[in-house]
Amino acid sequence: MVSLARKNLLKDLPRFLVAQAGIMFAVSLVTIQTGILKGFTRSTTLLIDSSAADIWVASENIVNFELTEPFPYVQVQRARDIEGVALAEALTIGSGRWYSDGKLTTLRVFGFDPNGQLFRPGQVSDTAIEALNAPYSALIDRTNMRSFRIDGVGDMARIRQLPVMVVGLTRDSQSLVSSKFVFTSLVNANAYISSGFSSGLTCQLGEGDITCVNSFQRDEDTGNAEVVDPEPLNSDAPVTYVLIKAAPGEELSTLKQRIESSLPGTKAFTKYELLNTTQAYWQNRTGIGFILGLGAIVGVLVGMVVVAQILYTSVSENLREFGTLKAMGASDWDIYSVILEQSLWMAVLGYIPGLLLCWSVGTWTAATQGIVVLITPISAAGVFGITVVMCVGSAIFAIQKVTRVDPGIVFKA
Amino acid sequence: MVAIAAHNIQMSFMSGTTETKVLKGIDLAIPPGQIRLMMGPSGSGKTTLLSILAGILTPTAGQVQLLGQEITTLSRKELTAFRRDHIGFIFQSFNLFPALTALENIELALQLKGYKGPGNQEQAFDLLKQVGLGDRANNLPADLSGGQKQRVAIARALAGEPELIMADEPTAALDSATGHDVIELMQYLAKNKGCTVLIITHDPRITDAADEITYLEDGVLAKQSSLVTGLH
Repeated sequence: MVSLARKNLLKDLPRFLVAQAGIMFAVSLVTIQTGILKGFTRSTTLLIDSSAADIWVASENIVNFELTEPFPYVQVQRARDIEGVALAEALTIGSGRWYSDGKLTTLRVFGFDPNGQLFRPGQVSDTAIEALNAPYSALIDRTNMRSFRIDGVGDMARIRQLPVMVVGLTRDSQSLVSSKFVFTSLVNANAYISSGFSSGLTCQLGEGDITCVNSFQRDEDTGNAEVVDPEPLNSDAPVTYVLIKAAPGEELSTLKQRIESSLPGTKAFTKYELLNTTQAYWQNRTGIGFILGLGAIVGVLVGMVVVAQILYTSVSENLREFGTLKAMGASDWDIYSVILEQSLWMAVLGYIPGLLLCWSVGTWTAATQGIVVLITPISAAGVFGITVVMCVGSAIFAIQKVTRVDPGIVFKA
Repeated sequence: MVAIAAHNIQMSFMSGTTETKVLKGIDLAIPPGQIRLMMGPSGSGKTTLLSILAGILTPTAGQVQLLGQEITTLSRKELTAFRRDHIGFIFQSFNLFPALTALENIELALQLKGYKGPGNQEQAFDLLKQVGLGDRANNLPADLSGGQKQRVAIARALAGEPELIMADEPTAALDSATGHDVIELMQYLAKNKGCTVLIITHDPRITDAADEITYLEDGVLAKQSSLVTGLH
C-alpha cells in the first residue's frame, strides 16, 4: 500500500525533524511533570510502602504521615494485648539538627525497633539494621551523604548535643518534601529528639481522677561532659505510630475498630489508607499538584501549536496535490485520512524518542539528585494517548483548509 | 449512446455585483472512442467547460450526461465517485505527487479506485511499460523530463481503465517533438483501450491526432471544419 501521508511527511526532512522536536518537547514536558508529581507523591510514602505492618495506629488528629501528634509509649504495650494483634511495634518521628564540619542541617529522626519486623527504612542490609542497637548510631539515605557531609559508613557527626555514628546507608527512603531523614533505634531517637531538654512528669490528684502533665525543660549546656548511653523508653515516652501486624485470618476493618475502641484518641489506618491519605494531602492540599499539572498542560498546548502549524503549512504547500486527489475522485475521508495518518505518524515518531529522553533524564536525576521521575507503564500509555489526541486534534485546522480546496485549481498552470 | 453530452451549458461567475458569463449555451456530443480536441483562444471558456464536463464545477444552467448518466443532478459525493470510477485526468502541469515514485503515483490511483493487494504494483508496472517507462519505475518525478512526467500522468489516468480521459493542455509544457509523442501515445492507447478522449488545447501542432475538433470562442461553439482547413 502506498502511503502518501508518510511519503509527504518525510519528503522535507528538516521540517519533519522540527515537528518531531516539538512533539518530543511536549511529550517530555508532560511525562516529566507527571512523573515528578508521581515520584514526588510516592516519595512521601516510601516508608509506609516498605513497611510490613498491616495497620498503622496514629493520633486521631493526624493530617498526613509526618504531620500528626505523639502519644505515650504505653499505647504500644496496650496494643499488644488486643485480640487479633500478632505484633505491635512503635515508630517515633521527631525533628533534630545535624551538625558536621561546623555546619547545620535540619532533619527528621525516625526511631524504630531494629530487632522488630514491621519497619524497614527503604532498601538496607540486615547488618546495618542490627548495628542500630548500638548507642547513638544511625542510618542515612545515600542521596543525603553530601547534605550531611558524610563520606561513608563509620563517619561521626552530632545531632543536637549528642554524637551520631553512621552505621549504614539506605536507598529509596527519603521523601522529597521533607527534611533529611535519619533512621535509628527507638531509644536513640528518643534521646536525639529530646536532647537539650529534660522531661518531667507531674501528676495531680483531682476529684477521683489523676491528671498528669509531661513537661520538658531546656538543659544547661553540658560542654564536653561525658555522654551517657541513652535511657530505655518509659511508658510516657512519646511515640508517633504503633505498627500492627494482624494475626493470620484477621479481618482488618474489624481489627481497626477494635484497636480504636481499645486505644482512645487514636485512629487506625490500613497501610494503603495511610498511603492514600498522605499522597492526597500533597497532591490536593498543597499547590504542587496544581503547578505540575499546569506545566503538563502547557506542554500539551505547545505540542498542539507546533503540530498544527506544521500540518497546516504542509497542507497549504501541497494544496495542489489535494486538489488533484479530489479531481481523481478521492472521497473526503480519503483526503482527511492522509492528514490524520500524518498526525499519527508524528505522534508515534515523536513519542518514542521523547519517552526515551524522559527515561534517561529520570535515571540521571534519580542517581544524582535522588529525585524520582516516576514513569509507569500506565502513565507511559496515558502520555501516548495524550500525544495521539494532541496530534490528531491539531490536524483539525489542516483538515478545515483542505475541505475548502477547490479541485479546479488542478487546471491552473 | 453518446459518451459525453452537454445541452445548453451556461456558466456565470459573480465578482461583487458584476456577473460575467463565461459559457453562453454550449451543446456538445462526443461519441464513444473518439478523440475530440477543444480549441480556442485564452479566456474562451475551455477549462471552465472541461471542469463542468468532469463534474468538478456545477453549471449555472444546462445538463451534462456522461456515459448515459445525468451528472448535473448528482450530489457531490456521487460526482466524486463517478469521477473516480469513470474518468482519468491529464493535467497541463502533470500534477504528479512529488514524494512518490513513478510507480507509486500509479499505484495510488489504483488504490483510490479500490484496487488493493500485491497485484496493484504489477498492474501499475504494466501501465508504465505501456507508456515506455518501465525502467523509470523507481524514479521520483523530479528525476524525470517533462515528457516522461506526462507519460507517467497518462499511465496514471489509464489506471482502472476509465471510459473517459479528460486532458487539459497536455502538451503545453512540452517541446514540439515530445508533445507530438505524447499525443501519439494518447491516440494509440485511446484506440486500444476504447477510451473517449477530450483534450483541451490551443496547441495547433496536435490537430492531426484528433477525430474531430471543436472550437470555442467567447463562450460559444463555432463551426470547426473550415477552421481546421485554415489551420493546415
